[in-house]
Amino acid sequence: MERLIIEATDETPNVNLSEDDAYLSFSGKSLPEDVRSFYNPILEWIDNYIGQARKKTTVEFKMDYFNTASSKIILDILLKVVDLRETGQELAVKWMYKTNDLDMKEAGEEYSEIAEIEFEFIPY
Amino acid sequence: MESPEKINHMEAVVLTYKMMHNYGIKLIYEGEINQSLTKVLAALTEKKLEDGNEDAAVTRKVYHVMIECLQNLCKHSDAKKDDNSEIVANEIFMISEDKSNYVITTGNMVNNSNLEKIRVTIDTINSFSKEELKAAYVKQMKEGSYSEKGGAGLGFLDIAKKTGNKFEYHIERLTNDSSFFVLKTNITKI
Repeated sequence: MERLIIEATDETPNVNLSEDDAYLSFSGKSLPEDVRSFYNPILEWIDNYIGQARKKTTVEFKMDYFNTASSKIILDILLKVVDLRETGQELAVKWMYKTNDLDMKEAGEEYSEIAEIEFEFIPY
Repeated sequence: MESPEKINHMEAVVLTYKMMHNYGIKLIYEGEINQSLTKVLAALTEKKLEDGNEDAAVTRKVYHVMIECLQNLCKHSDAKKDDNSEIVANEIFMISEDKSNYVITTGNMVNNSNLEKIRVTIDTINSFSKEELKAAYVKQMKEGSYSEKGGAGLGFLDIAKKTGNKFEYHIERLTNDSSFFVLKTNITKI
């Protein structure tokens, strides 16, 4: 599968999805006007990846800010990757947050609870 | 000799200045709100608070609430022109500050047929406890779908959850068809 790399802008995050490394990362801000047009290619990539994953997959979020429309997409991403476990693959989710950003930490805790995935919380 | 028009203009400036000062108004924008303006206003305010050494958590909350409010205005303002009304059908966005709060206020035109729905939405959210808010947010995130305009129906819930404060609102009936809807959100300082 082709690697999917999207450079960050002032309203969309940096996205780096690699099948070879089994590493999916999202970092920065997310407040696009139309979340679907930005995230649809990403969700499609993940759909294709799930059938092809051959090793432990790590998903990393290092977000400064996301709006509510993006918060729903982040849940969609998590609810997709959780299927990896059904195909027998291991999954790790790293949730990075600024040391003093407790709202961001709490958002991660909520996702972890809803998606039933244990997160590794990493302050930076 | 100064024309009366000119004097009125200058008086209006002085009045505006005094009013802004008295009510602690830091920023007013009147006009059509779009995405690029949302980013500019949010970045400007974030910078202003950082420069004033405001607490990082409070600054983030203000930034967060601002973007949700502004994106709400982009998506939900009903009428763009109302010929019978005194108020031009634009949006208004305002940030003010008192001793204990930052206050974000928005105003926009709403069709009277939509008023009841908005009123019920806000009143319901205001009645929620912290736990109920969290549950409603999670439910909407899991089960809700995107509106035609790309909203996730989470904005008000998120603001209430993040600020821990109740919304205040005011409805100014303008015509048989439309009203000006004013919504006020407080972000408590630390």
